[in-house]
Amino acid sequence: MSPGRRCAGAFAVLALFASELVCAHRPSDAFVELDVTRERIEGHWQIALRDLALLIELDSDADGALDWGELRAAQAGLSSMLTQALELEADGETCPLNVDDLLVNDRGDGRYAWFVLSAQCPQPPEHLRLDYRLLFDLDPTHRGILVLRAGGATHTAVFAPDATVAGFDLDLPSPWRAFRDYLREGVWHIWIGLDHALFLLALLLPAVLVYENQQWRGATRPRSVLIEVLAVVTAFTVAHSITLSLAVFGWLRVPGTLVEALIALSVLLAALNNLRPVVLRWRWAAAFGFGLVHGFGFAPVLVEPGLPQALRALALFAFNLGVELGQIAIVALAVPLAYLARDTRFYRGPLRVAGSLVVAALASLWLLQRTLPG
Amino acid sequence: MKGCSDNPDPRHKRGFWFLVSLIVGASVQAAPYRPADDAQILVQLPASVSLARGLGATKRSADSAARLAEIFIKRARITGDPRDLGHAQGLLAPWWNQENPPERVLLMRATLRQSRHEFADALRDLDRLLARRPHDAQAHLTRATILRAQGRYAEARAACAELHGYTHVFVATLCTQSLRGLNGELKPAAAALQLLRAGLRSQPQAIAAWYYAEAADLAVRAGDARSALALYQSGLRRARDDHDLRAAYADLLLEQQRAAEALVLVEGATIEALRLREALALKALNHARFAQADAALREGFAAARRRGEDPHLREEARYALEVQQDAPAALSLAQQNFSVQREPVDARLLLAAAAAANRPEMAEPVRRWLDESRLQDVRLTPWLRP
Repeated sequence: MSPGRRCAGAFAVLALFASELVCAHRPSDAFVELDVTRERIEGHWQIALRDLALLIELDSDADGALDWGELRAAQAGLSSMLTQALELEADGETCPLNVDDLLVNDRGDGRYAWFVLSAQCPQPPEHLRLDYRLLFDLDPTHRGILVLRAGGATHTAVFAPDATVAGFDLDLPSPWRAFRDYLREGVWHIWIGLDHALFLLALLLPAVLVYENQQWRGATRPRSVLIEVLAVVTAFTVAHSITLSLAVFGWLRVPGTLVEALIALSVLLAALNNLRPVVLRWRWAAAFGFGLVHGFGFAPVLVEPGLPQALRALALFAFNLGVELGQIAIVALAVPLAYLARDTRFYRGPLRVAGSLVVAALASLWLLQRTLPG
Repeated sequence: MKGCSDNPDPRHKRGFWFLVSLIVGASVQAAPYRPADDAQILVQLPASVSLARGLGATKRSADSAARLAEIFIKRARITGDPRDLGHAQGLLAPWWNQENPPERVLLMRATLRQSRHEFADALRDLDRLLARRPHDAQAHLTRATILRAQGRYAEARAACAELHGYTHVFVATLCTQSLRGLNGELKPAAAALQLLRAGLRSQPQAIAAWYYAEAADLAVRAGDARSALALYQSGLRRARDDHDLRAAYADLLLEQQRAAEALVLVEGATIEALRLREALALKALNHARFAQADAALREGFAAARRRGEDPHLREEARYALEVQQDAPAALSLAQQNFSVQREPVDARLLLAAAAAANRPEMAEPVRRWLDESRLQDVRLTPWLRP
């Protein structure tokens, strides 16, 4: 039998034909497969036995054949070579690699050693860097083929002499990252989602005014302005927190299109109310009622597939906190300005009317967009 | 995102399938086990393993590195084992990225690049070498081979002409006449090779195999299958393990509906080109082992793609056309292949794939090239009738 002509053994699915099986010549590939779970990395590394025999003398009885005993005897030596040939680094800190076990696997082009790997990182890696340098000096056509799974995503790379390093930004769901990401998401959602901000402003800006005898005048008691603002903001917050929680945990589902339309309607009504007031003392109640609707509007951000159940409550809390911070920023900016300007004719007249008209027009447009089919 | 699924850019598709193949390739065949007995033989180690072990540790001169590399390259020609080419490249590593390395290194680097179908880089190396050693026969011969593979017959003939007086007259004549035979003078070339046959006995095996492959190819293209079969048989008597002879002979047998004989010829082959013929023969015979051969072949193509390479475009195109009968895929592969290599078989593949896909206009580059090259091949005629 000439060397390399016969396949090492049974190719799993084709075991029936093992006696006839002949393996193809292929260039040298090794396969690294890793799963990252928090700071722990586990996986395996498959290397063709004939490639391993290049690293150290495995055939100790020099009979041209490698047996299981010879391979096992070399395990310690091979392990230390392998842990030097593959380095893992989490955010700049080494994750020491271990070879935990040695098995054998049959592939289409011959028999491979299967090294069971594990590594421990100091913390769950945000950025994982791999440096692979196996065999490149003896066979520059060798390739290390990597499949890396982390946080529901699968990353791949092909290591070559001119590409020994691969880096991945992992979306690992750590509590701190979830908190930070969703806090930011909450703030942005309020600032970018114009409809929420406009609804809030439409309810708040009249708080510095008093409506008497069919006309507006500046409020005289700052205390009552403050109470009014707090009442509106709190009612809005409590309401949307309730519905957001219901939606995120899947206890209540409302069609997104309906929610979007109702949000537009809430903005429209709030603007119209400033032109011809219907609700005055009970603005906080309106804030609460429509806040329930807005809460459903936030939900899609949080009901994404990447978020593990365990982190959902934390994410919800962080997102809500972000929304509140976003709101407070808007309130802190808008209300003092409005308070200062409340006695001017401009504020009570043109600004209120024109502003409300613009908001009402915008809200009508949204309402149309969100209710028309297609 | 809308429109993603019907993205017409084939590179997108290829990128996607590349990713899929990486993931699948790493995960399939995952049934590791622990052998029960220490004495169980796991693998027979090829001789090259002990030869290559420790090569990286020794410092050596460019000349001795190139000579060692040549041993591995010659080995690869016999074994068809790409790892041997890898070791050869490893030996040349200190000079591999140099612009103008020592002469022997240039020659070996060109040969390795040729084997990977990096024809432009290989030609650049040979030109550098020839600028320094204008009469290096091996460089001219390799250059002729590459230019010929690219379908640049006039330049290839010029390269062959450089051989005369600097290498054995048999080799120089074979080089020139075989190109003449591609380049519009099939009959006179066949006559010239007939005359050359007298000197065959004294030639080494590799040259003899080359002679028989050329002579048989001329006969096939002239439509004389009988002579061609006899030439392949003589060739294989002289060079039993020559892969090219085997593949060409198997092709002719398959064309002649003699799949059983073709199967005997290629059964148990270890290189993709022969494994393709094996699968074709098994398919023609409705053999039970076809499914196995087919799966192994596809796995082999996928393995190359995983590495980000496509060294088997010709085989893949033919596989898509004749085994899978997926004409659009075959057309795309045949087009890519024809942009890399232009031997008669590559022209035929593109013509056949374009016809099968009902898009004969896609083979226009072949027709233009055929006009320029004046290639004669009876097997092309079915697709060339207006």
